Amino acid sequence: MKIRINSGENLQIFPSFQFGTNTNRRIIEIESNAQLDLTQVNLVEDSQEYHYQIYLIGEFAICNLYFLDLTRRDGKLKTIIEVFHQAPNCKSRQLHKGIYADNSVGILKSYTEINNNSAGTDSLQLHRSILLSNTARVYIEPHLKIDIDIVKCKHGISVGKLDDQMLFYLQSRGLSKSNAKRLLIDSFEEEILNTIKNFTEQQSIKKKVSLWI
Amino acid sequence: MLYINNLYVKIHGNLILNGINLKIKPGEIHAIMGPNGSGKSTLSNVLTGNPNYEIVSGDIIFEGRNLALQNPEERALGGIFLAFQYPTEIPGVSNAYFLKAMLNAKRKFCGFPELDAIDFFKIVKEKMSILKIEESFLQRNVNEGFSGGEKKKNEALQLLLLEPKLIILDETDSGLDIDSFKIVSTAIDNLKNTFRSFIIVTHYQRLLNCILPNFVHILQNGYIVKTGPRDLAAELEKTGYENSN
Repeated sequence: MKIRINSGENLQIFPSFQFGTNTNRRIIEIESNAQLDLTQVNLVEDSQEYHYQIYLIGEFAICNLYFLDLTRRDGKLKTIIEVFHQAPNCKSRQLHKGIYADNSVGILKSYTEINNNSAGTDSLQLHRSILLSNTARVYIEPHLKIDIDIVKCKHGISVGKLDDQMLFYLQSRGLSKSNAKRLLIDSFEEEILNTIKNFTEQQSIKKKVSLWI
Repeated sequence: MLYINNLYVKIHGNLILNGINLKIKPGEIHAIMGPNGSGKSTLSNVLTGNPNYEIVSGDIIFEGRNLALQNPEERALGGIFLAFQYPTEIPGVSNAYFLKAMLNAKRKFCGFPELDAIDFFKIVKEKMSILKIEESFLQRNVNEGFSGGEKKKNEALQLLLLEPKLIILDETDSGLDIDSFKIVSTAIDNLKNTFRSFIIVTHYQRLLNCILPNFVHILQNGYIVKTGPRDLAAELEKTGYENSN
């Protein structure tokens, strides 16, 4: 699927839960002064893959990408996110969060390329993951290719378990261990889910997500 | 209310408590003082069920129940509250959400209906006014970016909301400026009654001047080496722990 956002336009793409079992590739081109806000939530317990290619082709183009992956059972989710900065003064934000339970596996390849026509680029890649079991795994490969000097480019990764000290603190105030875990998981997801601007849709998705893990 | 008999506790394989014996009756206030590393915080943590601490032998009986068989939330719901020396920061969880969940867990346990948002805010704001806490406090994440004094006030706020039976204050007086100290100690002092007991872990006499203890215990090398009346705290400030035996 290929989408082009014309100059000055703003496109919001909200979550989808079913991608099918084949690779789902989406190519999105963003022209000058146009903006993409994309929030994607994946609830996976089989084998799925999705692939985004975002091209910032006009000056002052913006893309904000938010991904929340929740996998369980023997689910395997492969995610490829590629952002190509091809014009000056563009901005990209990528926040990817994953929660992996049971025997599930997450694979994330995140690639940002800033070519020599992209002076003034402002780019951020952040990946945060929580493993809920000893057998869940996540593999994260961030790549940055920068061909020009005058840019701002940041990236960060963290992978961990739910914090025992936080769980104990909540339990010491009377919350059951399962409720304490739920509270910490909800708060982890919240940052992504709150980017869904339609309140009714946001609440509906929060409900589905809270029942998933 | 609380009966500790010959308690031995270790953490990460190291024995920290070496035979603690302590009896606390309803309404009593016990101060525990002692040098750094003597086991004061270990005692506080083991009473609240911190899983990092392992009871090697001995008994902890609270209102007739063996605490070793209870998980942290059962102890909390049963009325034990530890005001932490270093309260944990929980990014992403708003204080309002946490306090409401905490209070409703307690209400559910006690057979009361859970509070909705309106009733909760009414109660929490009343308690916040006692501690002179601003409303923005509720929108911030639990203890995240709080100053030392703000964290201690947040612990005191939880204390006022839960109204527990046994209150353990683990160096609650540290990190408080003079004004905050007065506010927090007055709020705690107001919780005193003939049914509620306190264990006050502290290095200093100033909190004990506000919440007058019935007994002062000196903890050294993992056991209580001396017990005396409240004057013992003043004596300690003059002589130090070296000469306390």
